[in-house]
Amino acid sequence: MLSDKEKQRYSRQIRLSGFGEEGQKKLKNAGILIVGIGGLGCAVSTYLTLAGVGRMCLIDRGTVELSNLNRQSLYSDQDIGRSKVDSAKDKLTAINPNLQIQGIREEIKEENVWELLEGYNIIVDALDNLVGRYLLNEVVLSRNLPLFHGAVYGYEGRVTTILPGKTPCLKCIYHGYGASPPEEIPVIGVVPAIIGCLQSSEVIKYILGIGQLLAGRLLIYDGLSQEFVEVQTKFDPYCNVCFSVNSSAKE
Amino acid sequence: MGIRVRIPPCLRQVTDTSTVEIEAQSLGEAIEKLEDLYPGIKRELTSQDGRLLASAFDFYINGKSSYPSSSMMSLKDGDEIIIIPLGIEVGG
Repeated sequence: MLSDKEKQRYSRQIRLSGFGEEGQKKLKNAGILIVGIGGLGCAVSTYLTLAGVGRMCLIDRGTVELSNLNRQSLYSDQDIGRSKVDSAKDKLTAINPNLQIQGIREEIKEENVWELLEGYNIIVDALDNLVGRYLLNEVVLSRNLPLFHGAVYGYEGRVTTILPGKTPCLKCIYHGYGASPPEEIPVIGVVPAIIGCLQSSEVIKYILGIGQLLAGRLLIYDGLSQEFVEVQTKFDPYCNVCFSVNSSAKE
Repeated sequence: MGIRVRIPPCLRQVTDTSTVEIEAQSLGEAIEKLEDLYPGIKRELTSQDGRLLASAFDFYINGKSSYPSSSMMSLKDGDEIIIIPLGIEVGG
């Protein structure tokens, strides 16, 4: 059920074709796990909170640093030294008090990833390194959960939606390369903002069952030429992660 | 008509443009033509022995990944190559 206040709060989107009060209820009943609450995670969580998602969990072990403030829009100078999940929880609750939010101050590792991803069936990949991303990839494929992937570097960003059994996985796209520890990359704040908003849009469409997802499609944003390019992702025949899932789905 | 090559932002310091038109019949020849126009780009895309740096870049031809790409991969008039960086481009 939606309260009168909720109907008023979300009235502009409830009017949308394919949305309606039913769509709003679906968002209210949804639980989303966002892994990484940096530039991408701030944008994703903000727009899912504004849209009226009912339950959210944020995972990030980091604390707010001065050098985060060019792009991580949930934090300000007063948050420096504070944990990102605590700061983000406060800001998101202030944006929408209807949100039930949990924060976990942990780093995704092989030892904890299976446990940390329990209880949520929509996973947003907003991490800053491929080591953690590959771990998420492995779990979502095993549990048949959608993974909403976004990544940025400099003036470029990319986004895709991975549906186990239907689309190539993250390891197919990156061929297993780049699994090195995270490092400080150059980035301008508008790029994770744009990519994070696209990830949010994918999540909302997935929950509502409307539109076309970026499933099997990698959308690349070039911030210098201000262009979007789309390519098809391809199953990697050597992918050791999704081979069994995808081969059984094709049969 | 030729071959259209889309250059990613991380190589823009070499080319200063997002798209380049060249004539080439293979991926390897395309990289040589790019090197003629923009000296230094070959070093970014290939190893010292001239092999494509598959760990750093994926070469999409007409929107489809050519992985595992090789210099011998043939091209035809009107093809579009999109160079997509891999390992480093995963910040959040």
